[in-house]
Amino acid sequence: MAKSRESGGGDNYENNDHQNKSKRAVDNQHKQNRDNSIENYVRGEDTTPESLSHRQKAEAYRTETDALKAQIERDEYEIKAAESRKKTQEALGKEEAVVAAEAQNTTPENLDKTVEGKVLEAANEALATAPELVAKLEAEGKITSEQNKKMQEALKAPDARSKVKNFFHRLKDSATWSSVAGFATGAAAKGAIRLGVISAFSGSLPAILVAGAAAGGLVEGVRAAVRERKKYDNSENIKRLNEEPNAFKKAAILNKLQEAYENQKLLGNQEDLKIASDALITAKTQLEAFLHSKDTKFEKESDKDKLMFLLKVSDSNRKSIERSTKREANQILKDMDRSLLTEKKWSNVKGRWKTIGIAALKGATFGTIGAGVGYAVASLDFGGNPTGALKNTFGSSSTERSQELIQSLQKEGEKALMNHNFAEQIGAKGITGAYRDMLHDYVIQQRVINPNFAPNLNLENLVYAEDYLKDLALEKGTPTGEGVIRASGAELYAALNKGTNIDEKAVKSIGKLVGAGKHHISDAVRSYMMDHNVASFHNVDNDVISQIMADIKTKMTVGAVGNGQAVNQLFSNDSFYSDAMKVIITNAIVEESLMYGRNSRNNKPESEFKQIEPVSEQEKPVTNTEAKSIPTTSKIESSKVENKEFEFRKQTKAEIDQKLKKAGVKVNDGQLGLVWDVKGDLNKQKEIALRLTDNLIQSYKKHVKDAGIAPLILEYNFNSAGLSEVEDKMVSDGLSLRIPSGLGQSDYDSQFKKIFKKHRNSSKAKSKSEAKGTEVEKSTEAVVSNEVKNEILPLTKTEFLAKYKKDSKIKLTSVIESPNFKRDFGEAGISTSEMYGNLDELLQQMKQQDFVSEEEWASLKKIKIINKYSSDYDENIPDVLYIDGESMRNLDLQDDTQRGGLKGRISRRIKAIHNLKNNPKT
Amino acid sequence: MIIQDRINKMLNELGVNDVSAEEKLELTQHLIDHFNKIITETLIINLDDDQLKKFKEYSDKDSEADLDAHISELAASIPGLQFKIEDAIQTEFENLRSAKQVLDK
Repeated sequence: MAKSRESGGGDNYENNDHQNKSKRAVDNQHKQNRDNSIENYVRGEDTTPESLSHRQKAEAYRTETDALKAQIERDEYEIKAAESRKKTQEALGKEEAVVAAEAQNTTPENLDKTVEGKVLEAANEALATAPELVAKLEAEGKITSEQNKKMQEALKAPDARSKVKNFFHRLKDSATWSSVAGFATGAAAKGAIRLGVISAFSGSLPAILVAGAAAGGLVEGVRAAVRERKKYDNSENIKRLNEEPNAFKKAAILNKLQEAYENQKLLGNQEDLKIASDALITAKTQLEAFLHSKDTKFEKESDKDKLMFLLKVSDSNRKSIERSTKREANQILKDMDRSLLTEKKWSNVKGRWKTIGIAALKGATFGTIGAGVGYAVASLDFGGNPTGALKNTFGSSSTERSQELIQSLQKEGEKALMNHNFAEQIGAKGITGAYRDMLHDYVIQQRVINPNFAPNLNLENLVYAEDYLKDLALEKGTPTGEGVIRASGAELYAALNKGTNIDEKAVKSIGKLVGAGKHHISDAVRSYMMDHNVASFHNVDNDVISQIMADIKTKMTVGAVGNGQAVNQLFSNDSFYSDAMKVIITNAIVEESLMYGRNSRNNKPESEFKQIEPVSEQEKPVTNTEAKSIPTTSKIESSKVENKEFEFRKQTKAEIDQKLKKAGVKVNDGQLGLVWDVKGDLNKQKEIALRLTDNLIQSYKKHVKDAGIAPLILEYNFNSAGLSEVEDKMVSDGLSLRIPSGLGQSDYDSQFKKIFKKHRNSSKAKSKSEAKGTEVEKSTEAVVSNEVKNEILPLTKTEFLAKYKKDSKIKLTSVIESPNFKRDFGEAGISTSEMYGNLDELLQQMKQQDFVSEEEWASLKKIKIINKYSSDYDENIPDVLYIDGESMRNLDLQDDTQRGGLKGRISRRIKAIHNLKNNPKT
Repeated sequence: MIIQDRINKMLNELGVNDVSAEEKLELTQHLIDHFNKIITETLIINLDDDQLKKFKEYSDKDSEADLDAHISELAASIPGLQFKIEDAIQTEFENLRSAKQVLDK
């Protein structure tokens, strides 16, 4: 009886049932009204019609009548719906019934024939559909007209049908295949076949995989491919679970599977999540079966009871374990479960879900037919090598190569992220805020290497995770004020894992907590927390994956696929990786500098530096010895020179500093540089150094002090090839100027210019640079007045980005006269001309990627720093960097070891970009 | 019905022998419903965002006939879905079989 009701066969029953129900409803309504009146009377609230005014009475009757009318209408609708369902079910079941009848009245051999006949029918339909679709492929530009022509010929070839039929034969014994037999005709089937064929020609990797593998008779291969990413052996775990007699140990195995499942939920790969959830469902079902079997009450259960129990358990487990990485999909599945659970007889929800299931099976099968037809076309068209043909047609080799590289990126990236030690200054934002920033950068990077990472991550998950990390830190005794908090990538991952696995109740609770009151999180902060675009990356020191991505890019551009085809193939269809590529080019290779250490020329292979920056004749030392790196004072101190030699140099340095001090030149730090690279007599070296010091003092008195700004000389670096060049070199390379604090920012430009103008006019380089310098001044002024002063300087950072971000041609170019910058570049092996070019590029990228903070931007745009007066001036470099005096001071004062500063960021990026440009691999 | 034939084989392999014809029919219906859910679930978890929207629209608004056609089309456009469905059915069948063996011990 139940079956006939569900299938719509029991319409009389349903009609009678609904009519009876309607009558019962009317009776109940009368009874309810009566009961209510009695209750109201007892409470002294007599609202019976008799006690009310006529108007109230009329209203009361009208309400009651309306309710009854509505009930009758609902019942009538249900009766009509039941009739409609019956008709639909009949129509849908007609073909199925025919086949079912054939199946019931036939031998297994005849049944096979029936199936085969239907399969052939489907194959014919698919083959008839294909020519039109192939023509459409040409119209859409997916194939050439020549390929279209060949494919059309192939479809008409005498053996096309047998090829397709053979393909289907390979599938015939599969579990779902037989279902096609009852459905392989009709308009819906035709539409589905069309889509199946289209899917085979869509050019996507899975489609090609299916078509290609099927073409080679490798149905098993396809199944293997589906499971390719399997991270652990499901069956092995289940086997262990079954063999383990101890319930607690069984629970421990279950716990491991639960962890694996939660990990996969976070990582967001659908196939892996399915495998993990399958394992968990199976394990839970097994465990419940085990516990159930120990209960003596159920010893005498029948097979039916046992199976019903297991179906119930499995179903329940499926409901509690999310199966999809997509929130929307999980919601639909929940709706399905809920509607099936609460289904009422008249709603037919169950019938609709049945329809959906059958239609899914049909469609899936037709999709495979499409792949079969695709195989036939490809294999005939391109000389019997379907895989090669598909590759030739759709460039799948590039795609495959790209996929390989992406997998490599993901693997290496995940490893690097897990092992990285993240650090964040606490400062005013507090521990929670610091962990917030850390998690923010971590999630961004996870999503760079895996776009599906934590796909359903919400604000509440993040709040939980940062709070969890904060509690851990406080437990460890981390101070709440100034300082640095640290966490490994693995710890951040664990925190996010916990955060994303909180239940709905906890989500609501956190949502309420942060919605108002003292834990309120503002809209701006919410927006920041949920913004996981690369552009919102916070702390460059926590950048782990840029180098890995750069390597991948290198492999793609110079690897087997050549000429960047793979890059284009990959990134043209994927906006995410397209963005990621921008990061490679822009932010990228911070790791490059981290790898070799800051200012660590000596740590990097010598040959690379020589290749980048050949030493000019001018810069060669007095003797014929080769140019070598410029060791800093600290490096000298840490070098392996003999103590005696070291002590001698130290004394010399002290003498020089004393001399400078006596002359009124305040010294912050000094380097004797190449002086010490002159091999041989230490006394000779000392003599040169002292003479250079005299020249420095003379230069200071002549050019700097006269300027009336009393600057401090902070650093000197004697690296000249000879005394005759000292003066020039001291100014361009060796003299750092610190503007006294009393000097206003507005005066900076003019004062700075004065210094160098004076120097230029008096130095030995005058003859070489005077003409060029004049040109520079003009061009500098032009740039300042037209581009910067009028258009850029008045803008706030937000306005600037809004105006120029889309315009990649904007040139806010740069020239630097910061000796510290120059030294950084020099030690990075970047020549002056390269430095300018790269800096220009760098600033563009920094702005486009929003890497410069608001404060830094405000500094960057206000001042010009000119470096057009050095002896190696290149008139082809017209760039100017604008920076304010305050920033200049800050930059110079900044500790070189602090990577987070603007100076460090710029120099590391320049170094990295330069390296990328000059690396032979790229 | 061919699917029913398949279910019969499954019942045998699950070791469900000691049942009356009426009970067998009831179990068959339950198994069909159960696997139907698994097929539907496999479809849903393989849909992309756009397809999920369509699915929701179809399942909420379509007539029975339209629903069948639309869902078929949706499923046909997912490469390899048939294999994934087979895999899901097989996995669940193995799950039930091994759990049944635990109960039978």
